[in-house]
Amino acid sequence: MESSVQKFTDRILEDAREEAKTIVTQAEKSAEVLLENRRQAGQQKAEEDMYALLRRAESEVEIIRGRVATETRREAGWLVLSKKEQLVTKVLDEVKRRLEDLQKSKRYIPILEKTIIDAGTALEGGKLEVMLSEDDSTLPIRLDTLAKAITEETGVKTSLTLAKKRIKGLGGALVKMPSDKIIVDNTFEAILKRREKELRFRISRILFRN
Amino acid sequence: MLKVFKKVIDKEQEAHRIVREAQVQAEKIMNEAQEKAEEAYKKTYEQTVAKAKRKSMELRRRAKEEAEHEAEIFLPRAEKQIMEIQRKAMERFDEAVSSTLKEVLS
Repeated sequence: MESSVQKFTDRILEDAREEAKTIVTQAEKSAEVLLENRRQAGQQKAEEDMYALLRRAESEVEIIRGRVATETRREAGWLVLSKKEQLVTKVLDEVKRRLEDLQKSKRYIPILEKTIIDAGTALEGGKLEVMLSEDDSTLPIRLDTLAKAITEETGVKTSLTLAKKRIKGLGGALVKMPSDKIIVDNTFEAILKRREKELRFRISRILFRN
Repeated sequence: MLKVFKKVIDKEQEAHRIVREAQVQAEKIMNEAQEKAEEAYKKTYEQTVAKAKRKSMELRRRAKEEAEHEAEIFLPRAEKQIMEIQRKAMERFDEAVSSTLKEVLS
């Protein structure tokens, strides 16, 4: 009796220990699975975010490349343009210098007369005054002959008188009505200024043609 | 007989205690695992993201370096082009001056 009871109670304890062992083992396995699952979930989430991060970085890389290339091209373009502008200006400066020289040459008088005729014609003749520089006012200009030429051009009887007021500059003439209402400025500076845009374009075409 | 029953009851109580203790231990294991799992998630995520950040920073740095290097090559080329423009322009300088004078005086 004693022996069978002992066996029975031993069995109860043995079963309990077995069950306890199973419970702990299963818990350990579940813990391992849980740990691994979360680790994988972390990896997966990170990879998703990493993909977005790298995509953003790649697009920024393209922007950086594009920006540097654009800035470089712009800088290079600006350098070329700036140099061309300098060269065109240099031509215009030389033109001004030669116009100054021209004033001292024999070729100047017919040129000056032509600027007066052109201005008088633009004013459509009539009673006009011619303003010249101090030096030019001493030149043998035949104002009456010029007036005739203007009369022929416009069909309006024209008279030209030399104004007392003098002009300064490279040469050329300023022709006006006595009332000062209309003035045609045909001094070389005025012509250059008036036509600067067009002249710069023409000079560029010559200097930088292929 | 009573003594036998008492012994059986005692052993059954002990058996329950053993199982209960195991359950408590299992619960503790799972709770600890839960904490460790969250840490593992965070650690794995942070490590991977940090790696990606380093990589993207490296990408940007390299792209900037490459672009600047290209620019360093490009600008001297532009300067060479400018020299060539200047050389040709100087050859045509007198032509441009004469043509402009003619235009102004015509």
